Amino acid sequence: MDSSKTWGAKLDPYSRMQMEDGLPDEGVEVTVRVTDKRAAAKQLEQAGLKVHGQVGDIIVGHVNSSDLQQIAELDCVQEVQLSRPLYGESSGDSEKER
Amino acid sequence: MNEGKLDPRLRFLQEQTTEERIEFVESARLASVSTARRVVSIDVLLRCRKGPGTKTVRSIEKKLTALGVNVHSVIDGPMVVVGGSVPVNRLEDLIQEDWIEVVEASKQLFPDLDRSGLDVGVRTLQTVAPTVRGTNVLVGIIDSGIDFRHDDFRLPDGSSRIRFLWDQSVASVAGGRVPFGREFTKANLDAALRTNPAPIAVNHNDVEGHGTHVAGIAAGNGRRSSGQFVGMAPDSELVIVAVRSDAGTLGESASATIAFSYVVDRAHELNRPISINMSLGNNGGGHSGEMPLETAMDNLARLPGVVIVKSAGNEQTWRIHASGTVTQGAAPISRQFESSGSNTQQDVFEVWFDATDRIGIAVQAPGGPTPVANDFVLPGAVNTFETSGGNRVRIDASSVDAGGTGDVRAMIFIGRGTAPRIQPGRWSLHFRGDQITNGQFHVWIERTSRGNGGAEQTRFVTADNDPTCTISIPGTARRIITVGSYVTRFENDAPLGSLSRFSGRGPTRYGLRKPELAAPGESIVSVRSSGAGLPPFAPGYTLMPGTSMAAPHVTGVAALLLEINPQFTCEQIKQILSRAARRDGAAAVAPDDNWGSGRLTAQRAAELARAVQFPIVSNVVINGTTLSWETDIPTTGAVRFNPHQRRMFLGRAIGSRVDLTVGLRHSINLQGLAPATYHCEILAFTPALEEWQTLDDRQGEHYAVTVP
Repeated sequence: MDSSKTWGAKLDPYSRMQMEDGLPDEGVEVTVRVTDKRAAAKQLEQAGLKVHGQVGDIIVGHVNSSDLQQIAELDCVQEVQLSRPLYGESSGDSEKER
Repeated sequence: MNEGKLDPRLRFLQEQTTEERIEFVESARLASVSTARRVVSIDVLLRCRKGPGTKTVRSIEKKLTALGVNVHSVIDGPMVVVGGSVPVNRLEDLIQEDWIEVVEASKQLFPDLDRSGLDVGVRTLQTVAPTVRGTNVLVGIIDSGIDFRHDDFRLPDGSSRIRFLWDQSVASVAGGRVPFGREFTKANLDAALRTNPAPIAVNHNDVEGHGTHVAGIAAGNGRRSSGQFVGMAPDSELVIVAVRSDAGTLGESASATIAFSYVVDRAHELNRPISINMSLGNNGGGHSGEMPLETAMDNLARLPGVVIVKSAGNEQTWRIHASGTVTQGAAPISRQFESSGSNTQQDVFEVWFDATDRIGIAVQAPGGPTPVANDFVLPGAVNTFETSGGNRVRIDASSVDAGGTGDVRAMIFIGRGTAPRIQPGRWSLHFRGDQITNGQFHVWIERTSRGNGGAEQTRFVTADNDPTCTISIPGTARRIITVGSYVTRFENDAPLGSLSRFSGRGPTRYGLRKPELAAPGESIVSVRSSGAGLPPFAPGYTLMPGTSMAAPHVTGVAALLLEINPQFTCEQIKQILSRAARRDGAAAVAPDDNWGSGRLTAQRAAELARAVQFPIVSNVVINGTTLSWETDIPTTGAVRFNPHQRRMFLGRAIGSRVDLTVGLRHSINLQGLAPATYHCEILAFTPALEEWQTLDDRQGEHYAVTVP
């Protein structure tokens, strides 16, 4: 992925949609894929990300909604995704429902 | 001595209070029971010996009746087998009779964890020397939490088996080691179990019950049931992350990502191997491991002593996937989906195709006009419009290199807009091939909350449904172990031994085999959280079906294999489990995209784990277009490659070259390939009958070979 592309292009469509609809005042949880595993966390923190942890090239954190663009604009950032809900996979009712 | 005559399940019931017995027999829907006058009766089978005073069937019946047995059936023979019901408080009298040899519970009453444990063959491992029970191994559960007070998660002295519990929802405390929520240590939990009020209030409660049930399958020790309902790794210890749940959801991708990092950190802190279970998922992504959560899981799964297991999801029969191939210049093709009459939540669709294709996408509402040329949204563009019914539709095809994969990821959002709900009826997605190299596309409908009969879940019409590629995310991550479900209990007309109809089906979008194998998931009795409103099946236990229940069988067995060798990687355990998998009955079709390699088979896996030797790849050298390496044992070798590094990371090679000479040194030359820099991974194979392999991709960085 070309990390020099516009900040909006580094967001996935789901995140762009959430931004257009208005992000919550308390900020959002994001996952960020970066090019430089060693130095990126510091840059992200300086840009406003409260880093919760890192697994290789994936960094997870909380960002104020107003800082999201600044995060995505960093050269070290390849991709930013807002957190998406997960669901339990017990299926008791799914079989009965159909 | 007479104790041995009694089925342990009946002994378990004998030890319950009257209230617990009543709760049990009332919840055991398959049993015929009597609770009249608060005397609990239960169905039994008795094996009786003929002898003085019991020479005839008639005399045996008469004696049994006197002992309180209501005789239903008698089978005469050298031994007389009697079916009947008996008050639980008369069981003791029965076993005192020397002519009664065995008193067994009706099997139907216990179609559960003990059955699935037998099916996967774990009981022998747990009970026959040298026993393997998960000693010195951690089991990590990322789920709704755990009923930490339940006896099955406690040691014989009453202290906790949980080393760490991170509740992501409760208020954080200053100086805590977690970024949000609160971490409780074993010391905190032990104190809470010992004293009331506890010095530190452990205000954690699994109100969903999902995580407690999952943990019971992987690691419950059966203490509450006197050894009846025992999980796979009963002597392991636990690291639990309770994710935030809200309105039918169970956690989010970002907090789940950090949960994985947390449990691995704690395992390293304790210097223990860990087998981690995740029975959560969604449909949001390209189903080839591209999502950041999947990348994180793959990164962690490279570490020795870390195994990650994920449920395959229950999406196969929900009609959430469609696919097709468009032809350049031909008329658009369509895929129809149905929105129910009470759909108020936003519908989200994921469309993925290769970026070398220019595929236009349009949406048509029920009764709406057929899309014309300008209605199609091409890669790089976004369009938002309102339907005549007032619904808001947004097509965003601007991600033309989604996740660095070189694929287009378009998303379609259909919201209520100004209408009270999404218009019920048949909608259509139209796909037009403007410039086509490959032409194939895939569409997934994101999950919604499935309460209320699944009314919110939009589905493709049957004719357009494609049940393949329905593994839920993050189960399509390449390096983890993904688990489908099969039936070990007769329910809902599902034949015993068959694959569960709902079990998510592979392959990945890139064609990699998923799931890896299948395990019992329909239906399983395991630990019931006292904080959840789930119906009891037996005191302290409840019944759940789903791939959520299949995955922890594998997680627990993987923990047993880590006891045998704490340095095994996830990839190595995947190979062992796949090689050991049974292909009997309905699984005879395996390997395939439903069963993976077949049924989980614990004992064989343990035998293989004790004997296996995986080759070690070393001294890798790139010299011009030649890649050379050495192995510690004789091997054959191969190189797989792709000039697109991210695709290679996801396992999508464009080609491979092999060296079939058995030896310790190998060289493969990529000369002749089109000029490019190729990102390569090395495969070393043992040449023995049972072939084992080691994959070396330079920790995901790959070996770059430039062909001029």
